[in-house]
Amino acid sequence: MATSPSLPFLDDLQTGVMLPELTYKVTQDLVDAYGMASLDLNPVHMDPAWCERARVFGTPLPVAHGMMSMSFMASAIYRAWGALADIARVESKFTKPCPIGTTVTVRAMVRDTHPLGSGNGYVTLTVEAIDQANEVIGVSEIDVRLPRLPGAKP
Amino acid sequence: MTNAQRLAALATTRKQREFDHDFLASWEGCITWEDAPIGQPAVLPGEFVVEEEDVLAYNRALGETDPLFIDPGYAREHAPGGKILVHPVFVTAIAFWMTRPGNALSWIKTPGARNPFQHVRVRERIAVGDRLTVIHENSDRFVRRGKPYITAHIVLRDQRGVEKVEFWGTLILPPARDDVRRFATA
Repeated sequence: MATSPSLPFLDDLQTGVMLPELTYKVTQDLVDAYGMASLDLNPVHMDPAWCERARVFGTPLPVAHGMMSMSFMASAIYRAWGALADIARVESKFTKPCPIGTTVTVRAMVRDTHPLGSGNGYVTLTVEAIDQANEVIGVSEIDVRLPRLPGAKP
Repeated sequence: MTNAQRLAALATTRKQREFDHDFLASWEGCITWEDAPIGQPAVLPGEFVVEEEDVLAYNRALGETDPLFIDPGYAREHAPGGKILVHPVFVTAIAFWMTRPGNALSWIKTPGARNPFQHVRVRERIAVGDRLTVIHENSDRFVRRGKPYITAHIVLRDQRGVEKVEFWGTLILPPARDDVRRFATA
């Protein structure tokens, strides 16, 4: 049976450390599943025939939801640290449309640690989503509240 | 088969089944960039009840692997509160469910809109069983590099009145009703 990964302690994290990459292929099935789950049924994502006519982003193909890219950027942290990772902030910018057929790699790096007292410590990660041409489709800053090592200096 | 029929066949939850699968049908109910009221925070009618099946659908769509996200039995034993955990960007489903034609947030369903950036701040994690009230205002409207942007500020409060999530959602909209019509009727 699968188990939940362990959360790291804030004090054990080094800045500059990369989390394991998360890679996914943007298919219509994936976009459909995300669209239904998020209730964002905008035809720019969900209707291939309409996309061919409307070409909102210049492409005849449906494009992935920006919110899906944002979700996957957060998910890179969950895959590494488990679902108990207490994400406090996700701020994302979308820089390039992501049409069906794109392979996306998400890279997350520990940018800085904030060892605050009273259990309020958190880490900030810089997360990039990159397509197969090595171009950035989205970037995020994500804050995660993490426990301190027992006995850590407040 | 129409696209709306195709999407209806994909629905797996009560909310997905009840949702209008024809996105373009209500385009005339989308408030435009120039007409959107700015400020004036208001509670949107109704509430969003966070059902386990809503959260499972979201987590499974993302291919989450942690059983705390996708296995209710495991979560009963190991999760805080005994329920599967909610992803922070699940707020998207809440915003779309609470949007109605003609309301001040209706522009999020504008055909031809683009998504430039978003910001979610989680004070306390949303949980299965929460009954969320949505307070919304359009907090900004601006032109950048000739394009019309609009930002919604959304606050989610649970049944205890606790503020759980703040969300700033921004879109670039087609500038005027005729531009929206062009996309809606493409």
